[in-house]
Amino acid sequence: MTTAILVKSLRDRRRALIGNSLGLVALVVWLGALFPILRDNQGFNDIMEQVPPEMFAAVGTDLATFLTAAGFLSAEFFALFAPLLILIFVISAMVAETSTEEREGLMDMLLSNPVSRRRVFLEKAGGVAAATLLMVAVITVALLVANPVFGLDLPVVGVAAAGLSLWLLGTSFGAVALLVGAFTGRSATAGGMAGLLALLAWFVTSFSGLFPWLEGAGGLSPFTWYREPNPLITGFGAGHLWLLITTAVLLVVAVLLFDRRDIATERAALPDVKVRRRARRRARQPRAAWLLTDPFRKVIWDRRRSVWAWGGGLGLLSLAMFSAWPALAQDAEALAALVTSMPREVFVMFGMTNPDAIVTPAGFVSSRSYQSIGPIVVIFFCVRGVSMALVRQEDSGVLDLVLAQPSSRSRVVVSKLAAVALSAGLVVLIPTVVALLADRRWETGLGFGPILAAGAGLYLLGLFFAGLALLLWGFRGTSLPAVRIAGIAALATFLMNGLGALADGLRPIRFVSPFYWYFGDDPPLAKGFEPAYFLLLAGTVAMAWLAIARFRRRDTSV
Amino acid sequence: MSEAIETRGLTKYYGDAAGIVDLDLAVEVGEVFGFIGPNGAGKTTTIRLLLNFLQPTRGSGTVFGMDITADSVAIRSRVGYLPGDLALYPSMTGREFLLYFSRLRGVDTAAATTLLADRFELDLDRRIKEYSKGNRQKVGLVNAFMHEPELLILDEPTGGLDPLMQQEFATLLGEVRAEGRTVFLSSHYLPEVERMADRVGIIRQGHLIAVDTLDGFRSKVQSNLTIEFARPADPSGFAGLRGVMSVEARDGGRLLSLSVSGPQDAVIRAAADAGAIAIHTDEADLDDVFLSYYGQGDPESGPGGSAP
Repeated sequence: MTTAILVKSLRDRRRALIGNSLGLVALVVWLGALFPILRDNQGFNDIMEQVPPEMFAAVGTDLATFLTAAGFLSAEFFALFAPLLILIFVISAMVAETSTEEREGLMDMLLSNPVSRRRVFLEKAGGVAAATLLMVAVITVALLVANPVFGLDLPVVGVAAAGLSLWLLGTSFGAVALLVGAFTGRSATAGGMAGLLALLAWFVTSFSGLFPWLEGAGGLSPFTWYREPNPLITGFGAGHLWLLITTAVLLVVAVLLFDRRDIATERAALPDVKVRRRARRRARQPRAAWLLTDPFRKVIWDRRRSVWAWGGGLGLLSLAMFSAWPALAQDAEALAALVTSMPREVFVMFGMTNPDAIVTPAGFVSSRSYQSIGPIVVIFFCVRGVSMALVRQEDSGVLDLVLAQPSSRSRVVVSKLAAVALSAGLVVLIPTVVALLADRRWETGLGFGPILAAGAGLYLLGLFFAGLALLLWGFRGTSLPAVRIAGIAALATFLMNGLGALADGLRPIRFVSPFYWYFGDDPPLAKGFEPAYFLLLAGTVAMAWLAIARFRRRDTSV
Repeated sequence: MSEAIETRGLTKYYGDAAGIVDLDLAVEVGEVFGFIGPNGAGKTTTIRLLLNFLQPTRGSGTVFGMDITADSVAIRSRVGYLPGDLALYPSMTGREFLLYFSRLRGVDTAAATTLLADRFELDLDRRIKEYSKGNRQKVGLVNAFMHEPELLILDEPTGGLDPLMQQEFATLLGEVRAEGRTVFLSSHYLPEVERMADRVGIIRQGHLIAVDTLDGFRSKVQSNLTIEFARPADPSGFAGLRGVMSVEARDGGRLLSLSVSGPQDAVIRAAADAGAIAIHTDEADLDDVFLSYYGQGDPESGPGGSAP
């Protein structure tokens, strides 16, 4: 008996493990360092007193507790961010190990060896659980180290209990994914159901105090077992036991189901009645057939859902920012005091070289919609567009099929790019329209021009990094991870912009950062169309032109 | 127990669609059994039932006398499997993949792996995603053969292999047979089956419609003979001869067209006696026999078309 499957399952997690651990540790350190500053800050305390108690209840705490290190970390770290990252990791890993491998036919391969289904299933789950445990251990150690360094005064037992709680929460929803996957063999269903249930449980626990009709449901949610009473303060409790029992029961049922079920692969998929009926319907007429006529429309067709998802998300964000402003404006003095008392470097590091601007509506809305979350979403969307339309298609060989059609290579690439650009434009257009309407509704007085200009700049920033990914792809094809490099370049130049503003000696490194061309020293909403935006445009066009010129004469690979 | 594989009324329905129906199959130890049929006939379903990837709707089966559902793990320790739709871990190298799978078997296959890789001219130290289709197939073949299993279940084994490698594969299969091991070879590539199989089973629409040795099938080959005579001959003299299926006289009896299955000695003797001056043969080959079983028609009542 070996544990080769468990070891492989654990080994295959190493990249995600390292990335997630680094992110979570950075967050722990950041929050640990921030807490003493905030606790001693009068402006912060004043603002927190204005916050309605329901808001605190939603993150499982109250005002008094929030102003202790344990309460602050629970609310800022353990209530949402840590479970979010852990759950995404566990659920996607569990699905990848089981249902996805089954679809791809790898489960057939594994099971052709003399190993029982039960063992394969449990070892795969065990590998993911072990990886999650490692991740939680890293967080726990980071907290234990941060504890004396920042004088947080956390009980050691509490830290261990919170870590264990986090692991058990992850494994219980991981077991949900396993169970659904064991029953259906469909990875999208397994991941979707587990994610949806986690979201529902989180909602019930967070808002059961807010809505009377939710009151009874709170006790049934794993999120309640996870954080109430707060393990960081009270240590080990019944919640741990409930989570453990839930995981065990789900796992046992999953194994029993998987033991008896037909293994499905993509080709030898189970042709049940529903599938065949669906196949017949599709055979008659593909939906929106008019969109499947050329590469341009095909890319639009592929992007249609994500345009609404990402654009809608940004629109909601803008709406939230605008609608929050009037309440904040009432307490503008406290806000200004808070901003001035915070170390300037905290803002500058993230490219907000003029922290005082945050106390204006333009600066406040920009800080999230145009200077942090907005660019992340738009750049992600644009780079991913290039990836899906070109890089992955070349990798899978589909591009060869497209190029086998009687149209020139540059024509194919240009029409695909135009579609990516158009769909990215829609992603930016949605929050822009929201901003225009919200600006009137809440009388923030930003004006038509600056809102359009900020949107245009955001759009060009996204296209710039899409251009970079395209350039790498055009020259090196699929031999380079073009998308990942473009993402890293975005992060690096973002940090360069912040670092360059921190120290005078480093100033020149700002000037080469596309983020500097966009942000400058003022919030995008506070200015009109900047000449520097032309740099973004020119850079994008140049990179796209070079990429296409090179691609026309390049070997394609499969 | 001289049967390597035996199924009794083995049936698999997917919902209300039939995969295979009442399959009674017997593969003897030491033979190469060819399992042929058109796409979607139930070849892969049969194999996946034998390996317990699917649960039978009814019926049962044994491999080396062990039940395919209850004793699957023990069965799989004696079986080497190559799926028709091969899936491998793309980020592993060939060597890593084979090492991983040998560990799952608990068998040290390092020496056999190297030997097989050399025979197939396979570079094991490249990532699987960089392999061509043929090289991926070779990894699958090495995986199936490396632990020297008593039974090999191979689904379309030579897909993607060049003729040289197909030859090497045939040689390997010959060695396996010489060692008294059993091969269950599923294919719709007829020359492969004709070259390697001792016996052939034909499956169509989930039903096993014919099982015979290759010689048995050859004896069913129909030849169309045209015999020229110096003077008109009597067709009724030929109608009753052994193997003659039909006789047709043309040109006032100077030309007789006969369709004959099996040995033609009786016909030739009779033709010589009747004063034949030439015999023209238009021989159908084994493929045509197999293909005649593929044709449309009710699979329960035997082959469609003209085959017996």
